[in-house]
Amino acid sequence: MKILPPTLRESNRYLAISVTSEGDIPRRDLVNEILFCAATLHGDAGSSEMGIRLLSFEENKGIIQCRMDRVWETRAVLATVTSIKGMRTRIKVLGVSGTVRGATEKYLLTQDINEPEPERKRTQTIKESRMIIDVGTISGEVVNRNNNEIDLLSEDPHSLEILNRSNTRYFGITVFDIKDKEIDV
Amino acid sequence: MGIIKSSNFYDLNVHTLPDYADSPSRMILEAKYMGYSGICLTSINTANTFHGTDITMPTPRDFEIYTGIEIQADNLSKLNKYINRSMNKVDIITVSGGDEDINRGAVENGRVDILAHPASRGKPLNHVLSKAAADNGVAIDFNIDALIRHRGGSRVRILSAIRQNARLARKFDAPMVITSNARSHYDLRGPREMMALGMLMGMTQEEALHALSTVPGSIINRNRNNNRIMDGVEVVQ
Repeated sequence: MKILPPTLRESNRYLAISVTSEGDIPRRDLVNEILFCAATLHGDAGSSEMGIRLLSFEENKGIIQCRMDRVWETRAVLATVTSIKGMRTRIKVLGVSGTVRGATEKYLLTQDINEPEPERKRTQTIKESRMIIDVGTISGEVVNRNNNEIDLLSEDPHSLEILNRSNTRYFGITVFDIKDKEIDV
Repeated sequence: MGIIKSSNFYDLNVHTLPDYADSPSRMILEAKYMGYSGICLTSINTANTFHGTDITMPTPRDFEIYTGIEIQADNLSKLNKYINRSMNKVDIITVSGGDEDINRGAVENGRVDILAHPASRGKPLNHVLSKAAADNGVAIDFNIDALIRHRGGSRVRILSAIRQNARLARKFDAPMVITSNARSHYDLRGPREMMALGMLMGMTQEEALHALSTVPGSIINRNRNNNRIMDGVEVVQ
């Protein structure tokens, strides 16, 4: 069978994305959640017009395909993803390109020279040494550490109330919040 | 796309510790990563007190930090009392809207900068309130958390009220701002994602861009440089 000639094909855009989450997100759950959000936000008819596909997803970064004239709608769908399997999740669109190669080379491989943003690796999980730190109003156990950013687990009633209000599992703090205590990971 | 890339984006309603779960410095780092040029850390609590944010880290390059308070009140006299008390303490005064009386009290008070989530109870503003907002320079907030936190029926109700607000704000030329109303760093969204949600709320692309860049910029400018002489009168040049 002949393939569709290039002039008759739909033209696509490719969105490079980066996913931040409280835990590890399997590819399948991410796809399901994005498609579910598309269906709730734009309906079945609208999502069929957008043609969203997740092409690759590794190390919390991936590429999403959508129709050329539906990029804004796709961004809106990605913005409505809030949690996957009970874990809070945030998707950031790093950039849009007309080819998979362009998206990969421009946004996934290289770093922006103007902004020396430290590379976001997968968050390290601390298992062996329990580390308790005190940040003025709250104190708790370090769960994840990612450069300067620390996720803190705290279980006293006052802290749980704040976490409930914010709908998160951990407090988000930084190394700058810790007073006169050095921590090493 | 050139104009989007060259714009400075601001998110004027972000909540941090001790009200919500993220520390100011974490929020600042995350907002910088998302591509903002400045955020406003807004205190929100039942006592309506502004707790000075002591930021324990050096301010990142090309990034501005503003302070604010989101006032919650259940009647007009309390609202005005809290507004008077917060003046000169914070950069930006926000009123937590939703209730019809409070919405009216906020848009009729020229000291208020932003009326936050006016449609949170599913009731749109009317032509009188939109006109008052335009006259007093009170920005009407289009909070994206209505779209990302709710699902189903409640989202439909709020979204249709928000669309009505956008239509009236355009008609009467009231300032519009888009804010995240973030309660943790997972609620922050990139500027273009905020624009995309703003476009779902009935704004044009251009209006959504201004609601994130020039309108917040002019609110900050007006308050920071003490250009405001009295309600509705300010030094433009």
